[in-house]
Amino acid sequence: MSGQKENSSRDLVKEPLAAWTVCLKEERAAVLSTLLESSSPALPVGARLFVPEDGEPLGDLGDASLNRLVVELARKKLDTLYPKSETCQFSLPGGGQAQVFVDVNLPPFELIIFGAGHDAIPLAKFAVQLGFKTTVVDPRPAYATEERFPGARIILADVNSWEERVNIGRRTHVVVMNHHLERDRATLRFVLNSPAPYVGVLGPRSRCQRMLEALEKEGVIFREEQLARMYNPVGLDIGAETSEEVAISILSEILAFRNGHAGGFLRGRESVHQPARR
Amino acid sequence: MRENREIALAMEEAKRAGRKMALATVVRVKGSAYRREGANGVISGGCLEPDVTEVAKQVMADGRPVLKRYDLDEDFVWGLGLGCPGTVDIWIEPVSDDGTEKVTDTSRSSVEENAEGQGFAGKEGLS
Repeated sequence: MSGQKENSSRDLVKEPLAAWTVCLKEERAAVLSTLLESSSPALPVGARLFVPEDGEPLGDLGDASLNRLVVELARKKLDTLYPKSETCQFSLPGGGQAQVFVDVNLPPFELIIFGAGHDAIPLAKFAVQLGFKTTVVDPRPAYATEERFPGARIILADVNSWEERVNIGRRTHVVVMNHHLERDRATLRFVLNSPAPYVGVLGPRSRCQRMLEALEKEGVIFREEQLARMYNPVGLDIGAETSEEVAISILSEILAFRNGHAGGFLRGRESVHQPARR
Repeated sequence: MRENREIALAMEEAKRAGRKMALATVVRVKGSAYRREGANGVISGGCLEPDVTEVAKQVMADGRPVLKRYDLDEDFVWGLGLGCPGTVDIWIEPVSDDGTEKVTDTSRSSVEENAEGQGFAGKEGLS
């Protein structure tokens, strides 16, 4: 992701828990594994192994093959959009078992809203309350103001400077709501070519289709995989009417998407915490 | 995610103040307990859930981590479960001033050397 914060103290840290604490503080993705129990008395209960997203593992659970399995699992979790912390059982080479708690820390999820219209206000507000690092992008200084969007970052920029000023990572969710065909089209082109895992597009299906066709005429053709990240019509089906209701509908969809849940009624569901897909 | 950051800051704060510290982490949840795995809290000789605090005192005193199971069926009502049925395992571990405390094997009485310097440093490729 971004290569900023180069002078962080993590490079000096040589101990798993200390390294983990630095990651918690700097809001970086990392996994800390702790040996809780094992059938082998030789393994040191309480031992830790730290795996950062952008660096080398640190620590030792007391067995090379256990270390390898745990690092492998940690990498897999860091590759997942919204991995869960859990205690896992591992088999030891001699036939024993080890219980390892695998704790995941993630940086805050981001939401970038393209368009600073009146309906973006509740969306940004609720997103901030949910803990999303929220950004509003719009070229119009009268609309994209800090007064209208408290708690959100404002980027006053038009199409030409997005590339350099709007940073979209693989944990950035995007909602396109410029209420302006041309800007929406340019936004689609920009964000579908970014790593954004979720791109919500406000407006009816026919409008979105027209924009895609117009882009195609300009020679911009998206792959299946890119179009699969697009959500239009945007939001969960809750019958939303007002912009506040629409905001709830959109954010519910984003949460369901991020958490890998289906997003329906819980009543009648066998388990509440099991995701519908991973 | 903000919670994690607060934990890190609280740990730093306790460290600065020179207080002994234990970290309690929910490591396993069965049933419908409110909090999920990964939730944790710092107990720095202060006032958190009474029983965890008691265990934490013992953990801070003898420097050994403890895995404690709470069965919330036995109308064990406290902050983590809010009375919902289920089992919660909590790992309570000592955290020393410099973050490099000894790792103790609870099944024996021997003290292991800290894992520092062994293990993985510098072996794996960048992801």
